Amino acid sequence: MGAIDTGSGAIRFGIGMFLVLVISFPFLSASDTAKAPGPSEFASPSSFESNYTSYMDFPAMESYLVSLTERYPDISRLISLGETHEGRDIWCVKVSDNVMQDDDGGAEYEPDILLVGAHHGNEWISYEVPLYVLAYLLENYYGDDCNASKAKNIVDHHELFIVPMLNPDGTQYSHDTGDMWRKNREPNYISEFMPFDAPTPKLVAQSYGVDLNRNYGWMWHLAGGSNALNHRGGSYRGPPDNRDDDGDARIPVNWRPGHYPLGPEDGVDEDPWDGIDNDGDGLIDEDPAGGFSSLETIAMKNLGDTREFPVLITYHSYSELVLWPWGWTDEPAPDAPLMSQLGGRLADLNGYMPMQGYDLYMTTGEMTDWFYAMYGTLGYTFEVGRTFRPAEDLIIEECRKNLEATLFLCRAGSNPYMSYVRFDDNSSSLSVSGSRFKFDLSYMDEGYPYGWDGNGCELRYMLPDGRWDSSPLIENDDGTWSASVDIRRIGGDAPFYYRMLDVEGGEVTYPVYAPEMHLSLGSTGSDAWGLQFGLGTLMVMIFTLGTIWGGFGGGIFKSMRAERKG
Amino acid sequence: MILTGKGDAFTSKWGLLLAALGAAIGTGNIWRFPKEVANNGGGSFMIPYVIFLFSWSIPILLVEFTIGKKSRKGTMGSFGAFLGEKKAWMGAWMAWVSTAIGFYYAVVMGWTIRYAVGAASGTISFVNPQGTWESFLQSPMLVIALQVTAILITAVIVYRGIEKGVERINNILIPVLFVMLLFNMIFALTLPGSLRGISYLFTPGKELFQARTWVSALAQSAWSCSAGMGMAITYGSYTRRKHDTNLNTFLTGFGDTSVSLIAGIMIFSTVFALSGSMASATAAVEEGGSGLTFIHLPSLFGKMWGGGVIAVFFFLAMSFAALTSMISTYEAAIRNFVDAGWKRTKAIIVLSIGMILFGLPSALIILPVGGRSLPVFLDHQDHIWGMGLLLSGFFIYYLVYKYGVTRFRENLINSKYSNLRIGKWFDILFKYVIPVELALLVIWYIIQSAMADPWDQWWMSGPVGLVLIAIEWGLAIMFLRWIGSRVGHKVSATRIDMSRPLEFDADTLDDDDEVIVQRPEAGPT
Repeated sequence: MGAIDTGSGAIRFGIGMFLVLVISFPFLSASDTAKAPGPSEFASPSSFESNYTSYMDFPAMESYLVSLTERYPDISRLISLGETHEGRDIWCVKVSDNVMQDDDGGAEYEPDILLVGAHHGNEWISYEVPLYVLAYLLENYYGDDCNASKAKNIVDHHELFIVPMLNPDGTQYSHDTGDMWRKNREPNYISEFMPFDAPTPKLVAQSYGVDLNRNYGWMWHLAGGSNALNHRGGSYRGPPDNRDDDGDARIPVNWRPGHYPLGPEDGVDEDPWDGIDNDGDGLIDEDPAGGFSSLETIAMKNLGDTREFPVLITYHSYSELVLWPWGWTDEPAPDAPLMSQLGGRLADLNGYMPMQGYDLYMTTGEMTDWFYAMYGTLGYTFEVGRTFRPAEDLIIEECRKNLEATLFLCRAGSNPYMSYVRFDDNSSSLSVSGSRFKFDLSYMDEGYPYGWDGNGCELRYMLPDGRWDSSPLIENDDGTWSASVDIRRIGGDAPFYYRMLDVEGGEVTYPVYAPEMHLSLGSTGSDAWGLQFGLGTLMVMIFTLGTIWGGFGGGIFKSMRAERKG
Repeated sequence: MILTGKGDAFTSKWGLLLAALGAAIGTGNIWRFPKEVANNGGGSFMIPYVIFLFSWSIPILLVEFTIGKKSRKGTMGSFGAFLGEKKAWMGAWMAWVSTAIGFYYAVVMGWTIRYAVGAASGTISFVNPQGTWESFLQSPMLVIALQVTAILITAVIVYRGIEKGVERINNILIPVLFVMLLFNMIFALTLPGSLRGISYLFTPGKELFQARTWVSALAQSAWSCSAGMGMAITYGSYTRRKHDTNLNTFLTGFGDTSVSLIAGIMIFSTVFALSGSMASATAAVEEGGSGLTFIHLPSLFGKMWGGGVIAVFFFLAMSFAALTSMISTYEAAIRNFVDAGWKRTKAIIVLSIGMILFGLPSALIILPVGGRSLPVFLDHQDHIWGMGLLLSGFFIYYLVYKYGVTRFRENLINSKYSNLRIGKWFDILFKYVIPVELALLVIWYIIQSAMADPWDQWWMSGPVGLVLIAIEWGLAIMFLRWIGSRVGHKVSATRIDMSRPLEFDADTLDDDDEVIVQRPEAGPT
């Protein structure tokens, strides 16, 4: 037989090619990067932030609100909650889709969210933050980046009532005079200590202003949380009620308003806002001792009475704190565990220190106490910043710092217990497995009180045509959840989020201001999948086709010769 | 190179070429190869695939033919004759693997029949082949009916002994299939974007460093060439001693791999050219799965002028290719029964019933995996018994090692009738390369599997779990050893006289005797 035999020749050729390939592989191998996309970074919204380089006064804010709401008439509506003593409007902006209707005309329950700023005239940063949140939502709503999806999610599924400046009089006074004016600007005419037979005082203002955040009803009457008698004090709680609200008092014939004493023993102001039937008549809190004497707090009370706010934030400054009720007692509130859990999550997001309000100092007639006591609202006081009036170039920083926490709270409006679920970015992952994106969702359950509805948890993602679709999230044995999405359905790039439903119907989403995470197959596809026709491809191709087809040809050739011989 | 011969040899050359390719062509190329490539990262698969053709499939086939020619028995008898009756079960394992492959292969053959009939009657959608495929998979009665049909056709042919008639049809149809494959490949290459498919097929990636890729490449090479299935032993036992098998082994291996490459280029060019986006193409490919060919070939035909007609012939030819493979499977299994003293008829009936019963799960268990219907049990069986060829190869290696590698080559493989003398490289392969590569592969695979996802691998949640492999292999081996202990002495009545070279063996078969086949007809190629 001839020395050439096809097999060994092909083997030698193959081994040679293989060695060449192995040696050159590190240089040739195209990077097979099926980019596992992570949550996109929080991209700073830039266009509208130029408005936050200096403190607005009331007229500037007013025209800013008007221009904003005129530019976004479909998702915002400017409402006046009433006028102040000096005739300024207490502006409130309602933000929602179908903003003229409540709950989208009954189509979808949308929790009401209340954001209030500037109870105190000197705390300027406290109205810049809610203004910033408002502008963020409106200006990003029609965008197409992750900020847009965030804003859209908040706006489409909530009804926000943003009262950036509850105390325009005090704020404007503070702007005009440079005084650190805290209270509002109503005149204080009447001393509490007015003898019953004293002559009618002349209506001469003895001082100005009531501390609005001591003028709500709840526990207004307690001593120690406000300036009760010192109407010149910064925390003056306002005048006493002095009215026989329930009509059970013996009123002297010659009694006229302002005359004293008609005290609790006489049937006046005998049952203050404390949730207890103090006078034993079977009615609770029917003849309060005071509170809601100011137009601003009355406006807030009216708002609270007509809406249902599951959550609220009231912004103050300063101390970098997140506070929750109670402020009037060191006893924990009935919902203290939930409040501190949610408050802790908010504090995680803005980097503040979380605590119950009383732990800072005792407050009475305070807003979050009132809303919690009367409406069950989980209210949070954000003590923003490190001074009342941070330097102007720090405004944006403080606003951004509180944006995420605020949006988190908005989401918590539908289910505050969601704060018990902490999603773990480090253990959650997104991978490409075959034709599918595989999602592994890992979370830390910090005491979530409800079980998950195994059929209600899903991964929601946007299809190329803008519609939303979902894949079920399946619980794994180790408590993590997995879902997968057919890559072909997405076509390149799609926002997505996880939506968990508990057995009580509560919803938890991740990211909380969903969706801001994006699936991505890379921009051009071919590069991302390492499929360019490169040198490595060519070499493998020559190796394979050369060896096999060459070997086959050689075999045929040899076979021919053998046959001819035989 | 092939076509540069002198004029008078031209016709004969073409004939030879087509005959060689015809023997090699089968569903292993058109159905299994693309899906394995897709499951293992394209170009990464090609390198080990070519390597194992030389370092595994061809030498094993070479030995198998030689064993059959020497022992003149089926797989069990051969192992009994070479290694003693206690080792006859090793041969039974080889026959078992090919039979177990036959269980689901009948289902696949049913698919090809469905597509042939469907193409003729117009019930295959060229626009939405995915829908056609999935709705077909989800109609279990039809799948089972076709599976049973496939088995019955095979059984009748084997029973009536009309394989020759089938061969005659195949002699026409299979070259036609090859020509159509070639035409399809060229057509697919003309589609814009097909180069991406080529890139996919030949660009190595990170999968090159995964044991799974190498194991799959070995299994595919062996599966496709029928190395380790015992069919070569069976056919070798029918082959005249004068007839050369060495060169034909190479032709089988090269031809088979050549056709695989053609089919691969055709399928991947099609997938990448006809998918809307890179993402969806990659998804379709990465998903791989048994449907790859059946889903994407129709869309290629849909693009062709006259594609509907071509589809009929293509799938008809593919059905016949599958039929020859099924016949080979039957022959290999029945030979063992006959060796053990059974009547041929009884063996055929028992085998057919077993084929139908054991094939049912593969036909029935269609699960939705991530929104698509996949024949999960069939894929699982394909994986398990594809891997079983590793063990078969090990038994072959063991036989050669016991006989003596050099002696085996000099005494048995190389005879004076050989057209191709096998050189010392055979010794190197069997002394060093095959044991080392087998050991490394197995260890690497187990370690990497266990580390990748211990839960899936060790337990049964993953269809490729090591535990499942161990259980199914273990059960099979226990059963086969029991069989071996019962009939081992029957099938291996004569021991091989080790000292005598092949050509001096007692010529139980006269050169002029009728032989069933001359050219090695590989199994499911």
